[in-house]
Amino acid sequence: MNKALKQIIGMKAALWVNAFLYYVRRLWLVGKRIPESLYGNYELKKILSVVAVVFRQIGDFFGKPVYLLLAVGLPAVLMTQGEEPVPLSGWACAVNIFFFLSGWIGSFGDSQVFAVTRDKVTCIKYMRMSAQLYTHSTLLFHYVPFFIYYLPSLMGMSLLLGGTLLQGLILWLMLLGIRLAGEALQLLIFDHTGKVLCRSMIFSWIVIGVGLGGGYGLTAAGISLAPVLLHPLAVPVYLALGAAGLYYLSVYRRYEQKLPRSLDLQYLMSSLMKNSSGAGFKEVEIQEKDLNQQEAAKAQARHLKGYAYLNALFFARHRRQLLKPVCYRLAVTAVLFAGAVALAVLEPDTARKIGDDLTLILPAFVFIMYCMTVADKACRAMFYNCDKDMLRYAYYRQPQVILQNFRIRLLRVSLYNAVVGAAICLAAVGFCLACGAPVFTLQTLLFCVAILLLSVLFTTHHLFLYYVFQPYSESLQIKNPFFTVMNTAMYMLCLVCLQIDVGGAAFTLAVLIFTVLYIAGALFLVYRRAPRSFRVK
Amino acid sequence: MKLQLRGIQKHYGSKEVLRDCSFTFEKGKIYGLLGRNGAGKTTLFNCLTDEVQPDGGSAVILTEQGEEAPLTPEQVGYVFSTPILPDFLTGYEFIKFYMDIHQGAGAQDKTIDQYFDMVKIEPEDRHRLIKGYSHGMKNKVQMLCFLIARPPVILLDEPLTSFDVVVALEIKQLLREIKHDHILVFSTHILQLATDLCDEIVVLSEGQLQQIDHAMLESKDFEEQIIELLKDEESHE
Repeated sequence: MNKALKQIIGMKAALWVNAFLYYVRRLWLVGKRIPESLYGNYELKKILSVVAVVFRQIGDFFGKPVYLLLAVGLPAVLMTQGEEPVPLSGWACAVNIFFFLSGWIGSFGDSQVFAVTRDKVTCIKYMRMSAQLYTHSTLLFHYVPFFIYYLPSLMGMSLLLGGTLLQGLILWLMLLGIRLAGEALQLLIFDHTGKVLCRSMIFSWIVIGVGLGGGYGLTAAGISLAPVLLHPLAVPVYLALGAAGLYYLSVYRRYEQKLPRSLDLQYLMSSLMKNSSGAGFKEVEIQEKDLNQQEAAKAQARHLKGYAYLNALFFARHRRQLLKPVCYRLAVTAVLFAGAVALAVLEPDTARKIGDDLTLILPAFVFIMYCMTVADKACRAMFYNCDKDMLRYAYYRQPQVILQNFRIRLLRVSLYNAVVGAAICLAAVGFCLACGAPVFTLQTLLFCVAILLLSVLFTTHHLFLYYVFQPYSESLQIKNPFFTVMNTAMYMLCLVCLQIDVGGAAFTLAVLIFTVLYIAGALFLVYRRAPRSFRVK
Repeated sequence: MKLQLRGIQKHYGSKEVLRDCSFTFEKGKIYGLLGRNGAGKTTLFNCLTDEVQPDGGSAVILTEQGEEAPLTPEQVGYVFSTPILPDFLTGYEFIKFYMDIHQGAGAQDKTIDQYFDMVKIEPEDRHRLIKGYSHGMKNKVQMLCFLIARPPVILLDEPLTSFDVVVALEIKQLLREIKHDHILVFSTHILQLATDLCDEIVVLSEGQLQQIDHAMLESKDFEEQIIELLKDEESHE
């Protein structure tokens, strides 16, 4: 075990150091001064490895109180103060929030046994290390410092928020018991079904929903599970859960046989390796089953010719990758609508105020529309399943062909996003009707126009970046820093909109003008630059 | 018809890959382009297909009437060493698309199925996704592309390396059948394949093209001489 642990720590440190050198060498000005030969300077890398491990542990140690302060303590304090404080103590609020976030979400929304990391892939897949030895070693390496670092932080938080040291200790035992039991339960389910619980989209959303709802929602409603969670009788339960979990994780004998099957690169946690292995594209990969789904679409495509035919087949074959996300987004819209109707019933005055002027909530919808677009995924599918190969052919790189394909794709992807936009507009109108606000007003019209334009804006944005910067290399790495910068800038801009309190006509007008100008500018640049820039790097 | 390369140059950073690369290829012959790994064979092909912009020089087509015109990417059929085809189409759909966009070019006197018959791809395989095709089948589809478009210049980048014996023989036979209408340049580092299939051997060494004398081709110690020639390149590096 000791040897394996040393190997794993050494491997992790080497990967951190290599990744560090990789990124430093890409820094502007500084990067060019760092020679590639540094990768071979093992003495220096040994020192950097030790520094990396120490820094990592320091970061983990101080990360715990920071997390407790921001995610648990601060909301607890805020809820117990202000105009309408909840009828609970700060400590009771904190215990409830901590249980749902770190106990519930931490145990079932994640798993160390099934985490796919670079070192795990290297050790188990390439170095053929024993999967059992690897799992036991990494659980030890992860959970021992994890529990040790949490103990003083939890006791400190307990004292600060009006609890006792003993209560802090009980909360720590809760964390220990439920985390170990969570790991063991996920392993047990995987052993019986072959499925990793925390990778199920539905299960994850339920865990997050229950976690956030229970943690913040219940607390805000004045309900806390603290009396139960901190009851002395709960201690043996935690100890039993922890012991059972630890026992199962230790005596489980089928790691070698089953664990390698769970090493799916799609779930790799490192974006660096994800990109280098192309795993980021796995979700858009075409499969044989995509061929047999759509006879009607195939029949329709049969009458088309050339690039129209190619694109029709492309979209017909990518229904799973593109239409399914649209359906998910429609479901999210339905949930938002249900929430809005609930608001109209429970808080009719607030709802009416919003319904009278929908443009007040437009700032938030800028970010929502950014998150709702399927254009990013569509671009990845275009590159991975089509352009990566087709761009090697001269006929496909002809300027008029590039622009013709761009036009077809822009229209098609805009249509997908517009469906989501239209659903949001319908939900908004439904909300107005539910809260008794007038529907045929200038504000409602402006809101709907802005939503539809935003759906086109984010389609254009992603396609524009894809065509003008074509960021992906043949090995599926992002090669163009401008792509990342532009993407981040747009994300930040949308995030900033969330913070804007003032909506109304002025904001709506600003959004409309920005959207129209951006779309016009993006189309102009695509037509000018894409024929030269749209190549495989 | 001839393909004339005039002083093509290409650098990657400080490395000079192609140095005043000049040569004339003629129609009706299969040229074997020999060179060590990294000699620049693929770079030369990429320059001719406009996939890579050369730093200098040009490539022109000389017609039988003596007229000359710059070589355009559409005049080149390129068979990649690793077959490159879109995964999301079936073989049949790809050939239909390819025939659509090359309507008017080449002969195109056959139906899609007749083209598939030519390269012996079974009817049930034609309607499967290309993603599931073997290396050999993908390469046959690539070969079909130039049978359809009939470009004057066909570049083959080590296409037979990973074929099984039967497919390799079929493809070699196909190349021999069509060579009279095309300029065929076949890059390989397998000496036996070059001597077996090609009418002329051209060596790419130190960034320059050099034709091997026929007398040398027929000599007993041909292989040793070629190896010596290619070794020289290493000693100069």
